[in-house]
Amino acid sequence: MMSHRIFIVEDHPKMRETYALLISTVPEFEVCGIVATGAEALAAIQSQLPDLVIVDISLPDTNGIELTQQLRARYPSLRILVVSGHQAENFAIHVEKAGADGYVDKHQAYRLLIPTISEILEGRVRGSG
Amino acid sequence: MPGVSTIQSSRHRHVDDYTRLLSAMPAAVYTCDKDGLITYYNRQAAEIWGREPELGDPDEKFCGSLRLYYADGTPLPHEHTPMAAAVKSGQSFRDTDVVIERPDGSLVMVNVNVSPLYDEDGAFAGAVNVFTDVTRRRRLWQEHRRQRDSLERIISEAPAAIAMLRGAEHRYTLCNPAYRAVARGKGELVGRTVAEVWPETGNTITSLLDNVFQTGKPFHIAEMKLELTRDRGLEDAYFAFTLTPLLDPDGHIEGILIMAIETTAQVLATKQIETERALLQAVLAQMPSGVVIAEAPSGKLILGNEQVEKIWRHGYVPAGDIEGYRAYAGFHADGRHYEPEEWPLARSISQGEVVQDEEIIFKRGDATYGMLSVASAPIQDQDGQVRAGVAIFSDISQRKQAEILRLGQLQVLEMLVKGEPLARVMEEIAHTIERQSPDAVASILLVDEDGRLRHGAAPSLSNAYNEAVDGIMPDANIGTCAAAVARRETVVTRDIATDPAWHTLSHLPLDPTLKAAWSMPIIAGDGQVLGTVGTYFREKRGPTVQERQMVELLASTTLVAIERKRAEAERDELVAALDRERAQLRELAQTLEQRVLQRTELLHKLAAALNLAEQRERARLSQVLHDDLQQLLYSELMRIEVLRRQLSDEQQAALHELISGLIQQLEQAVNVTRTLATELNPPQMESSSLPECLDWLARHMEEAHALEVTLRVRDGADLVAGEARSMLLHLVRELLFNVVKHAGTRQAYLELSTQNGLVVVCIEDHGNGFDVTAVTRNGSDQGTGLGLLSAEDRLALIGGRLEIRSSPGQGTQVAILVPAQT
Repeated sequence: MMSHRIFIVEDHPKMRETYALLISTVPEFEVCGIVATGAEALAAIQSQLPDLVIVDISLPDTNGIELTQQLRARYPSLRILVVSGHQAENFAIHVEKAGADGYVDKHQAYRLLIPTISEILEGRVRGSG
Repeated sequence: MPGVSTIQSSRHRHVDDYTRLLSAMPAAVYTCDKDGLITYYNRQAAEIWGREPELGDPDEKFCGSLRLYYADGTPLPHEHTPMAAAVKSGQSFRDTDVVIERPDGSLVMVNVNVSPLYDEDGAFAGAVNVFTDVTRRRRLWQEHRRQRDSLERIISEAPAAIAMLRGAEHRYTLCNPAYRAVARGKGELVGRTVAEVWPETGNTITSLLDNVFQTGKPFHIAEMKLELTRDRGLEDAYFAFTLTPLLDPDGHIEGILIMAIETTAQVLATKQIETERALLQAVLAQMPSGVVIAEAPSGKLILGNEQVEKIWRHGYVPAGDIEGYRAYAGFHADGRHYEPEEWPLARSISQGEVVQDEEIIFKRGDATYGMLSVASAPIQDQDGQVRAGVAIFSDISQRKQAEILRLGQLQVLEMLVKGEPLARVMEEIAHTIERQSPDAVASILLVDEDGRLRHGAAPSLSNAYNEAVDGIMPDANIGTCAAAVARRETVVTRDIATDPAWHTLSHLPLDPTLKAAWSMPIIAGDGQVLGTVGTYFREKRGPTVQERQMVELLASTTLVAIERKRAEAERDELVAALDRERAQLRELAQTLEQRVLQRTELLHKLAAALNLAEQRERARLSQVLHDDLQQLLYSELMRIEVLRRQLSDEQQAALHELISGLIQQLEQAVNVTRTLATELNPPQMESSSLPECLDWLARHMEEAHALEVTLRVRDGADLVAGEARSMLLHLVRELLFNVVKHAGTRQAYLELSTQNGLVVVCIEDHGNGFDVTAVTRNGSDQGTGLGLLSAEDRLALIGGRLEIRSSPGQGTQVAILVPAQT
């Protein structure tokens, strides 16, 4: 089974670390990079070439929607999963419109993050939660 | 001529001689034959007849005259004449007067004498008439007779009793009816002597008569009383006598003419009048009014009763004429003297004027003044001629003074009530004093704070004097007013010129006609001397009892005036002080108001800042919850998942319960923090419209608190913004929480509208409700947990308010009203 490279854009250190820890529990997944800002993400992704990017909706220099739009513009095949602590119901619509492949509420991330990543990579799911 | 009694038949020879003789006779002669035909008449007869009848004419029988009358004027036919009678009877007729009317109308009285004629045979042949013109003689006699008749009539009709006496024994020779009347009951007087007729008079009359007879001097007695025996016996009789000696042609006294007028009736009447007059005088003397009677037209006073002296306080001056009335000093109200002819009595006498109740100021004998009320009327005789005048007067001074005093007091009281200045009130008091006595001049002085006397009112004193007096110190030994104040009692100076107390004041410019003064101090209830009421007199005198009483009254009125003015001054001072304090308070209030305004503004700013800070703090807390606490919780959940993934199946089975419990608790913690974060700072508040925010809130309440909220938006969508809107939304949320917590219902209604420039958000439920007054009365909603009062306070900061309608069991309706921002 081929390993999937996963890139994390999260400004909260504890969350970054926990995302990486949880993802690393899945042998097929490999965290190829973790950044805290949109700018760092755009710079690193070019060299790391991840299969999937986890984008936090709240970022210090931009927000997850805009970063998704930029990444989608540059990397049409890149898988993008947006995570958010906000509960707005139409949030998922905005995320999908921006070009993301999936959406997970941070509250449910402990339960849905790994399944959602798997489904996106397998091309079955574009959003959850 | 009667001498011719026969006619000779040989007349032819002598006829011419007879004819000549008859013609020359100084009388008228004619003859008639026995048939009455005229046979002859001479020239004188023709002259008297005034015609010449034909001799022997049968139409001219008995007389040649045209017409005849008796002496008394009765017509006398010719056939009734003496001639006719003689011819018919053959008798003679002598000395008969008849009147002849001539053809020219003139009348002639003739004296006729007729004698019969016989021829030589002695046969009756006719008659001869000799007549003479007696017209003049007759007239003289008639005149004489008339005069005599007249004299007799005069004497007989004379009211005077006239008698003529002859000889030294005084024998009556003539008495007229009046005299006989005097001597009624005495029988025939003529031929008797006076002594015989009047024995009862003794020698009273005879001695008088003897004297006149002997001396030849007439004697007159104006009134003589005689006791005469008359019809009713002895009576008193009164006479006025004139005894005049009668002289014979040789100048010897031959008798006395007595003229007597009996005046008994007049004398008795006069005596009656005198009796009545005495009675009248007694009545007049006792009358309570003064009465004077004066003759007209002179004005001489003929009677004055005792009251005249009592009223005038000087002797009765029996003025001899109107000019003499100057002895009585009267004055008009304006001070002018009453001229003699102005007195009512003088006017009644000279103009017949009836005067009623004329008031006259008068000066009495003791130099005091008073007021008379005088009535006067003329006394007229039967022809309307003014014969006298009577004046009745009484002293009305006391009544008048009381009247003046009463009027003065009324005037003063009215002025006090009207709040007139004290100077004007005191001036009126001074005038009242001066009106009482024409010689009085009033002066009111006031005591100032330094105890000096100050000018109050003295309208009749000179300014120079008032200024000189102003400021003098009270002194028991100086002047009258200064002494009265110092001695605290009434002081009288009867003669300023000689009073030692006035020597030190001799330099003052006091009117020299003011001779005396007296002064009464004005003493207040607390014993303080406030001033003095002084009166100067133009006479050297002291005050009368009435004047004292009057000034006492006026002094008390003055006291009232002064105390009233003092009270007013104190009141004014108080009012001024109050005004000052009020002004200070107003200033203070303005300052305070300003401060309050400043504080309020500050408070508003603070409130706004606080509100903003609250919002920020909410946002910050929300952020912290979201960015930190929630992230940690998410992280911990994920770590549990990491842990679970690393456990074996057995381990997982053994720890399943524990792990599930951990997850459940963490999820619960996440939900709490999420709700808390949302409620602290709803995510859409800043970017959405008011209806959108309310819509979110409604849904949030249902999701988070299971409260079904029905929203109705009428208008007012975007009329509230900024902090006001955030405050409004927080209030709405709090009120919806109240429904959740207290209303006992799961349904609420939210309505947005505008009303009179206000945006109104109404929150309604049909739940438990509560007692609004109880909440309001407590002044606090502590215990209810409604937060309504603080909500009201917060709303007030942005100019809004809260309207609450609720009662237990009837649900609650709360309206939030905030000014619309247009």
